[in-house]
This record gives sequence, structure tokens and C-alpha cells, in this order.
Amino acid sequence: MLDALNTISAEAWAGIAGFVSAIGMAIATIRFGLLTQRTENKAPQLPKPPSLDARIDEILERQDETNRRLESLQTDQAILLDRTRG
Amino acid sequence: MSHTQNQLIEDGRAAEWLTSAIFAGLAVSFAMPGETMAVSSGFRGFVNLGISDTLAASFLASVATIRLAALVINGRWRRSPHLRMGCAAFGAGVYAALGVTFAFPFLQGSGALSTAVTTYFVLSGFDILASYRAARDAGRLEHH
Repeated sequence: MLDALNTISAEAWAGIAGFVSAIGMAIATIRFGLLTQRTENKAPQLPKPPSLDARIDEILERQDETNRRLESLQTDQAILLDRTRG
Repeated sequence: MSHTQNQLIEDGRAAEWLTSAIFAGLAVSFAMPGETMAVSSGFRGFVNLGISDTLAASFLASVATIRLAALVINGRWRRSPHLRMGCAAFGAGVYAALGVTFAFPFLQGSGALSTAVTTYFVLSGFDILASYRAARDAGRLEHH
């Protein structure tokens, strides 16, 4: 065993050291990445501000009202057109 | 996250493709006729460890294939980020080993610094970054 280790040159040891250090750094980075992502996953979603919800509801209501008025105008227009022709 | 961080980490998939493609390129070079290991003194350390052209070519080709396949799958298989993570860590190790062995003659004071040294260290750094990106992708998949 020791004989085999002694046959390994200094260059080869340097290569092994480089290989092991880079893998060690990569493992540390992986752990950091997983930890960061898990923390982000656990972070609560920010609720929408209530004022924004209320404003959206208001806009939707106004849109409904506008649609109702437009339908009524179209009906009146159709009646007037019929009367003109008749 | 700053603009630079965002470009490197969130939009940095191209760098992962690049390091994987270079891995495949190295495998092709070793698989070509002739002894690539004899071309440069930088490979002496590998030769000393008994790593031949054939062994290097087959090993690098296998890892490159797994890496490129995992990149093509792109998260459609649940374990693909884990594969990317492992292969990127291994790639970082291989590039760093190549960088160190190519720098060895210069460090001993018996030659000029090869341009391969900086290239391999940069590739190693980007593979460490790739392993971080893959780890975040794996964490994101765990959540879904």
C-alpha cells in the first residue's frame, strides 16, 4: 500500500489535491444553494394589500355598470330604428 | 439579487452548456488516434496515476453524455438537477486537477505558465457556479 503511494509523483499529488479541493468547494456551494432555496421556499408569500383588492373590485363593478348601460343603449337604438322604418 | 448575479445565476445556463460541451470536446480529443497524454507535460501527473487516453476518453464521454442529457431534459425528470449537481461538482474537480497539473512546471520554476492553466481554472469556477445553480433548481423542484 505504502509502496503504491510512494510511486505517485508530486505532479499527480498536486492534481489529486486540486481535484479534491474543487469537489470540496462544489459540495459546499451545493449545500449553500440547497439551503438558500429551502429558506426561500419556506418564506411566506406577501399578501396583496387590501387597498389593492378593493380597488380591483371597484373597477370590475364599474365595468359591469358600463356594460349594462351599453346594452340598454343598444336596445333603445334598435327600437328607434324599428320605429323609423315602420 | 443584483443584475450581474442575476445574469450569472438565473440566466447562466449557457455557461453550464459550455462547460459540458468542453467536457465532451476533451473526450473527443482523447479518443482521437495518437497519445494526447504525451502531447504536453501537463498530463504527466495523470500518466503517473495510470490514466491512459482510452480511460480518460471513456470516462469523460460518459460524464459529458450524462451532463448534456440532464441539460436537455431540463427538469422534466425530477432527478435531473441532482445529476447536473453531481456532474458539475465532478467537472469542477477535473478542470481544477488539469489546471494544477498544467501549472506544476511553472510552480517548480522550470517553465512558462501555460494559457491552459487560467482556462481550466475559469472552467472549474464556472462548474462550481453550475453546481450552485443545479442545487437551487433541485431545491425548487422539492418544493413543487
